[in-house]
Amino acid sequence: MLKVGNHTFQSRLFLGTGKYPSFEVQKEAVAVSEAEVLTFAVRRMNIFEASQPNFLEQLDLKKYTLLPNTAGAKTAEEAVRIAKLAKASGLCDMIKVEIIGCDRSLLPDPVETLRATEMLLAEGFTVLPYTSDDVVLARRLEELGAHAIMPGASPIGSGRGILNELNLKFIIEQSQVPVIIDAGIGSPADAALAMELGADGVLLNTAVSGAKDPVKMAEAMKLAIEAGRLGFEAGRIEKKDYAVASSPMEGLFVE
Amino acid sequence: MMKLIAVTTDTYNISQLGETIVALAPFVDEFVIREKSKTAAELCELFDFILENGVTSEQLVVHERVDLAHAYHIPTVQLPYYSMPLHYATTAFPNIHFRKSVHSLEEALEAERAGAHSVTFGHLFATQSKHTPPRGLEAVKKIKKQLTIPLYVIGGIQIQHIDTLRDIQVDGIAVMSSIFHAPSPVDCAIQFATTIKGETNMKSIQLNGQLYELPKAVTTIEQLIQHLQLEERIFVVEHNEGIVDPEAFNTPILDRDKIEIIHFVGGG
Repeated sequence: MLKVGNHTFQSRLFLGTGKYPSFEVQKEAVAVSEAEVLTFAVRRMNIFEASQPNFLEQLDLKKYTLLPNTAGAKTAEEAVRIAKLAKASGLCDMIKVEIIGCDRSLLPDPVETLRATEMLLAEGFTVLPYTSDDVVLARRLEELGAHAIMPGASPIGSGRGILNELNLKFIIEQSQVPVIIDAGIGSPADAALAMELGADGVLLNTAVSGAKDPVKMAEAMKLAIEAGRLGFEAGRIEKKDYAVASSPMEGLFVE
Repeated sequence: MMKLIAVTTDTYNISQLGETIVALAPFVDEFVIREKSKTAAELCELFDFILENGVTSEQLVVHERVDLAHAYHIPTVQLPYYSMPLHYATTAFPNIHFRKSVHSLEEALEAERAGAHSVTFGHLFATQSKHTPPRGLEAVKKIKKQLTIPLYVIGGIQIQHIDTLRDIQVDGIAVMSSIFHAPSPVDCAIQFATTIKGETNMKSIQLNGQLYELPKAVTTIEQLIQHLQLEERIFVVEHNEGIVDPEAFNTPILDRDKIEIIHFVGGG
């Protein structure tokens, strides 16, 4: 069970809802993933043209917890404005602080992220900041009171998996709050590795929505995260640099 | 309806100018890009930015740089008084509309004969940009009687002149420092735009970034939501940068209010 603030989740997969090829595929992928937390962006409604179906409005909101993000904000003030608008919907109190500092790498701005986290905690939000894998920054965010830490595996949408295992392990070891690896996951192996390192959850979007078969990939990710978590709990064998036979020598009858 | 044309002042840097033009775009019909001190590379940077951020090439008029207008498929070029001869320009660039700056009836008629698509007559009233005496409304009336191509006017035009200019039926007004040196260029542009519309009892608001005329029956946020048929949708309303609690949807909407209707979309 994954506990974030006052929320408890069975599924350790947080799923992004962006950039699916179609509404139908999106619905099915979300259902198959068995994710309980879905992320959303906060944007102007298109009121001047005929509207397309809105994914959120089709959801059974009792089954899901919404995690809106502050994507688009460049400063803490903008992030707070977005977060307050999201909260005003009455549908959620969790917020993913996403304040990007570089348009090419989409890496977060650490200074604005710290400021926004502090401001939003003061306003009573359940705050999950998206951060880089900087170990000290992660500690600082936790010290402020963040309800979870969400370090990136690699740049958003890059599908490169975990670039720096060591940093993520440092973060996981030092954190008393859940660590949810968010950004850059590409394959089920990446998600499984994240969980085997001891992460409490994984947030991914493009890995599923951009896959050739998003519905199948959603299922694969669900299984990978379950497998990785079980593997972590099971306690893997050490890596040795010599072999140890698995069949016994005792009772051998060939010479 | 009379066009609102904003002429740039060559006093902003490219980055600020780009942002300002994008912010003004919903409220201004045309921008004349007249940045004489900027390099071609800088102007291209400007065009790239604004064309990617909601400004259309039809909204642009390039001052003198016909090479850049040609490269960017910008349909109109403003030729200053001292430009190359008009018929050279129209022959070399048959697909571009040339708008000639003129100072007299004779020049206006000559420009029309030489193939100008429109003319800008100025300067009309006292203004900080020019040091020669203003030419006045009588001249404009005379030109409008004889010219068949569109006539725009420039030079110290302010809100209080709009009604008179509308009566003379000029095709558009061009303003420079009135907008770009105002404390809030967007607010100023909205004032010009709504005064040009002439129905000052109509309320105009900024709705989701666009200039929106409120139908007379819509006076509160609640009524706006009904008018837009959003009752069944999930959304949050921001009114003048403050979030509106649904309990307070009967708040009246005033002229020039800013309203954002926000919802959730797919995102990571």
